[in-house]
Amino acid sequence: MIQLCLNGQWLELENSDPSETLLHYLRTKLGQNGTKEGCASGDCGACTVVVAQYSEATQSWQYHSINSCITLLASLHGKHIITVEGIAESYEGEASLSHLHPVQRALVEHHGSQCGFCTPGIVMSLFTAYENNGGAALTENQILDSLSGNLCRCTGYRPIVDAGLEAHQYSKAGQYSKVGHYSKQTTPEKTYTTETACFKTDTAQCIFPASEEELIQLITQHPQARFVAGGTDLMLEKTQAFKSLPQLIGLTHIDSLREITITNNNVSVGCGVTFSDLERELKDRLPSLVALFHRIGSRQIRNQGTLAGNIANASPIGDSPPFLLALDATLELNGPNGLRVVELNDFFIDYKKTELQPGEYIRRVLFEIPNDNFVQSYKISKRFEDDISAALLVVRWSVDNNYFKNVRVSVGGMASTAKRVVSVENALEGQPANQETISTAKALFKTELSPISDVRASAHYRITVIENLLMKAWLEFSNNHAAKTQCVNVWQPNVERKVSQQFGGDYA
Amino acid sequence: MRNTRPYDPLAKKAQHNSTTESDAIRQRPKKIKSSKGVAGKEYIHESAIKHVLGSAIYTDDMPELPRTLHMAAGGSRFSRAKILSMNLEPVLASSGVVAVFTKDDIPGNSDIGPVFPGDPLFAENETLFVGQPLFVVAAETYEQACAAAELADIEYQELTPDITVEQGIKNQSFVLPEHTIESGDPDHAIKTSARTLTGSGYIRGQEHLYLEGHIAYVQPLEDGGVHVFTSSQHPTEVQKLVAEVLNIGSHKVIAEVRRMGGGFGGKETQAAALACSAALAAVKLNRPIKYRMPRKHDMERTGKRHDFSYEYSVGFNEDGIFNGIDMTLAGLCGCSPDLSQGIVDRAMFHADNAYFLNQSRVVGLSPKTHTVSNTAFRGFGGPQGMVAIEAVIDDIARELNIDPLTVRKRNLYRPGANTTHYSQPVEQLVLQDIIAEVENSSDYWARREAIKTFNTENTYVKKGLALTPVKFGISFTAQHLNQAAALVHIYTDGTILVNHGGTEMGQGLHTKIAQIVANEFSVDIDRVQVSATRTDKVANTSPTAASSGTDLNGYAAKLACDEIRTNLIAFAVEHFSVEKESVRFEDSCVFVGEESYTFAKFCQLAYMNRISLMAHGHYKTPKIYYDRASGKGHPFFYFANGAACAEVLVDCLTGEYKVQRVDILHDVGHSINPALDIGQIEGAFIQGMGWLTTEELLWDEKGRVLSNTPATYKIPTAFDVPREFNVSLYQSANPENTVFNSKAVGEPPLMLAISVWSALRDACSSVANYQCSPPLDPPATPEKVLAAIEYARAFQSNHS
Repeated sequence: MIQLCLNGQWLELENSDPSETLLHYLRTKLGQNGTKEGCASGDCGACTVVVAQYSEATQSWQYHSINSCITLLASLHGKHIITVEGIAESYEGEASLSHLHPVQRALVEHHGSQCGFCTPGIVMSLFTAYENNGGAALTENQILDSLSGNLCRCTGYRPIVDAGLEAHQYSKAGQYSKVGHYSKQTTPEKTYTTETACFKTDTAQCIFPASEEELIQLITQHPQARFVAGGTDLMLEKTQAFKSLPQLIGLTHIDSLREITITNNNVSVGCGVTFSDLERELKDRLPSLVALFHRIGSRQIRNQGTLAGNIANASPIGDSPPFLLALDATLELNGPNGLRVVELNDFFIDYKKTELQPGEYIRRVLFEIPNDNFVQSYKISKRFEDDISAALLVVRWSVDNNYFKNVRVSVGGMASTAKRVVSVENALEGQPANQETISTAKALFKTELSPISDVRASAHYRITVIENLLMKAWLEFSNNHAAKTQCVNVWQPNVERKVSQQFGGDYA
Repeated sequence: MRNTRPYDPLAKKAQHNSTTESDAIRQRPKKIKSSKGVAGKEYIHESAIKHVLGSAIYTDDMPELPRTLHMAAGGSRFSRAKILSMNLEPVLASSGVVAVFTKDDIPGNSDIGPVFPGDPLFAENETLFVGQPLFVVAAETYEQACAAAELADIEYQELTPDITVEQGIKNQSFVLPEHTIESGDPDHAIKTSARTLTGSGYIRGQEHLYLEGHIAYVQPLEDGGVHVFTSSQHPTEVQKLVAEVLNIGSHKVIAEVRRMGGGFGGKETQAAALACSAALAAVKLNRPIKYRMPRKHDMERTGKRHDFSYEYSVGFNEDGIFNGIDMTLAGLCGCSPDLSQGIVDRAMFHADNAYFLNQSRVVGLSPKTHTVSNTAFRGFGGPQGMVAIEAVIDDIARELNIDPLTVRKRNLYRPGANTTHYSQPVEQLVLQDIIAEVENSSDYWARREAIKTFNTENTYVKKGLALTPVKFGISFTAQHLNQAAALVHIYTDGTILVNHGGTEMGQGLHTKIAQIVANEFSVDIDRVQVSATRTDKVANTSPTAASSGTDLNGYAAKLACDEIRTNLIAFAVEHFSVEKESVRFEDSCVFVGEESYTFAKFCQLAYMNRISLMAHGHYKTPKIYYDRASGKGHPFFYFANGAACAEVLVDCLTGEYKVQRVDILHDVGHSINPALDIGQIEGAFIQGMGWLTTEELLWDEKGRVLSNTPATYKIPTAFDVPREFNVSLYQSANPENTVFNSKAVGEPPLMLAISVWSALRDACSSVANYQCSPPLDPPATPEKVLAAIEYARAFQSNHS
């Protein structure tokens, strides 16, 4: 039986379908209707709720925002969930400002809601940022990061960001100290998440093995089972196509698969590791990869989605595969037939087709943090945040004695799989590091790639922009090594946030 | 905290200006007499606390009655096809399914077209668009209904569809006849002009993407009627159409709306199909029915903002001043008229934006296509007409090598040149002043010079700048819709309940109405409750649309209050034998000479003396008339105005860009609630910016919407908001007699975002040293911006 702690109260979910979503359970079974469904695909954030985790290491609670609309209910077994109903002080009848959590109050006082439908999700995203920051003043970047998966169609966001910036001013002494008050009343001892768990109804079964041995056994017993870690893609089959997921094997109760190890620049990422986990580990070691992660999905998606899932999904776009290709990453694949190691470069076969054999899963992703001069990714999409690439370029090179060496050039959105563009790499490797070499090399993209036109971009644009991005990479690289005379990046404008609203008050 | 102090307010009646036209340019409307009260203060939205707690109830949040069934519709696979056969057995056999309904089950009218026929509830013999409902299925759960709806076995014979404006025009297929508004002799004026230009462009539509999707929840009533909870901006229309579909009287149908999770016009007519389908099943099965569409269906099966193509030929002098213009606007109407007549008309009315066109001809075409019928969206065609004329202005400026702002200012309506092409005079000539203020606050000219220098020094990144005005006509162009009613009840404890015909979709209408009512009785706003909009309380309401919610319903509420107050004063005069003038409502009290009573006490006293404490107010907008046949009249009560200055930074290698700074000054008259008005301005601006930048609505050649989820259709996020964003309210009262001399605010500020588009074009033009006006059809995605840059580069290399 799934057991979870909702807003400080442990619940035993009898006869619940383990493959349903948390949002569905909240709204249809518990009548907790504060959390909204806007899209049922993790794109709008109206369904945002929070998973609270107690860290023994830091003796503190950590909060993760997630899209409840695409979260497998069974994956929350043993976890603490906080919804919009759970963060204010309890009240009877009509609530007043004094009952509100500081982020709620700040939103009200800054007129941060209009139609109010996105608001519960916005509240929970800001709550996450606020509580993880111990109630101290948040920076604009922290706020934007927390809101990256929340759409609002009414306000234009300015008052929402203002509310985030000023939420700390609304906390009162003794109230809402570091952690939300609900968590004080609850015990974090439940350790279900490291035990084997099996949830079953007549129509669906979901098993979470606690060890890899168990996992292999289960795969042998249930060869048709689907794997689930973050589930941010898998669950769309349920919520968008209304398909059933009768047989699931969860990978997130196995400690060894949730590990990130870094030794001598060698990084090993277990298949249960989320993007958010990796961001924390790599932000100083490989900032260019973390910068790309910031443009993959939203904070909510990255709190659940895994690096391995992004690879196994084999989207032609990525976004992490092109970067990992440039790092010469390898994969450990495991299954009933044993462990094997393949190079990522050999992993992608064709559109949505990979080296993975039935029953095999990606156990770990392995790569080395490069010590080359330059590794950078360039993502093109209509919208900066939470959008799927029209085209993605990753370049990596060293310049030794004014010659390019160790060159990798890889792309996403340009072919049926993410891939390295060997002709361009070859045109750079060993050649003089200058703009002429770049110009010659970039002309080769169109000989090797023939992208399609679709809703995201035309083939013509894709080729043009990939060529130009190589030039942009060179300009950025050479700018870093010379005086920065020219601005080449529109995303880092050197402008202070400055907003004002004049009500025009001289009527009196 | 910034400026949360309410400023001291205002206003009983504006004094009308009796100045000559030439003074009017520089002179603002007179300041108005101040009064104590709650109108004019920055009250929080009446539901704000409920919003943040998650306790505000939307239709899908209502507790479901026992035996509730869920509904889904089976949609057409083809945009245009004959339906040869339809086998629904697999649907009926699917798990949880209780019943299916087709066109043959409709007891009454099967066409739910709001103005003209053309919108069958279910496809007849030939389909009209991809996703058009063919049947509906009622099942025990939402998931079962959605899954079953996919299982029908349908035989189609595909026919060749018209998908684009071009195809519709080429095949002479129109939902409505061509319409022309003409003034003077444009052909002669153009021919005899010193300079002429021709041009064309294509403006894409917009998906509403209200966060709450369409929904209806219908409960059968004991007398054969239904109670419909609907996500509709127009509950009266839902009531009427449900009654017609069911073939029962309107008096047996209650349509109710407490709140919507956003509307933006997308819920003006589009809610009816869900309500009618659910009502049909509710009556047939005698069970409550909930019909909520998955987002993908909502994006596929409900109308959007119209795409528009435009073509123009313009004659002007060496100063860039219009002599004459001939413009054709063609709106992609989709498969039926819906509201397209009003929308294409409004595009035509706004083909001048803020400018005196002189001799002009504006032609409106309404091509029919086999795509979902396009509908109202904030601005209602106005934005497309205004984008077209702003493109013309930019083109003229590049042609003459004059700064576009100068050309804009020279063409503004002005004394002696203040008559629109539909012959309505523009009486409030405030845009000169508004633009001057924005020029000043945004430091336009200094920044223009700095940007020119920056652009000379930078090859790979360019900046663009634009300052554009907005003039938007306020009133429904269908005259009869310009009316409203409200019901005010005062109870004997002195609390007040208001019901009016407007719906709340986030804009803060109920908050403003509560302020108006509280102000009339000089009581605390907490004493006033606005209840859900219901057709059984206020009948024959107009849609909450055309920015008119407060103008109409607010005035009606005020009139109802006036009546009660008049009765109460008459009572006091008689009861206390005092003069009328000695009775005053102040500080939640009623003063009678030297005596004072609490409001509650006074109401109790009036009740005991058998005085009515409830009243109904009805308001109709004065002054408006329009003769569509001649294209002449006075369709708008007044105009709302504003101006915005936007600066963008563009990556010339990729076409990516960031909006850096925006300065806005907008005219809301005397604001009833400045905080809510600022919220409308900022929200509309960002929504307009999304329309013109990242939101790309695309169909394939078969008529399938490609941008059919929020994963493929990208509205702005918090990151996209300009980091420098200054918004001010223009300090003036509406000289017309509107409620508190305020102005409508919902739609007009959306068009302020044209400044962003114009600034992007400015940046692209800088690549050719401002010598050419590169085409940049909105939305200006990075792809289109890069194409415009390439165009400018090619121009530059051909001309240097």
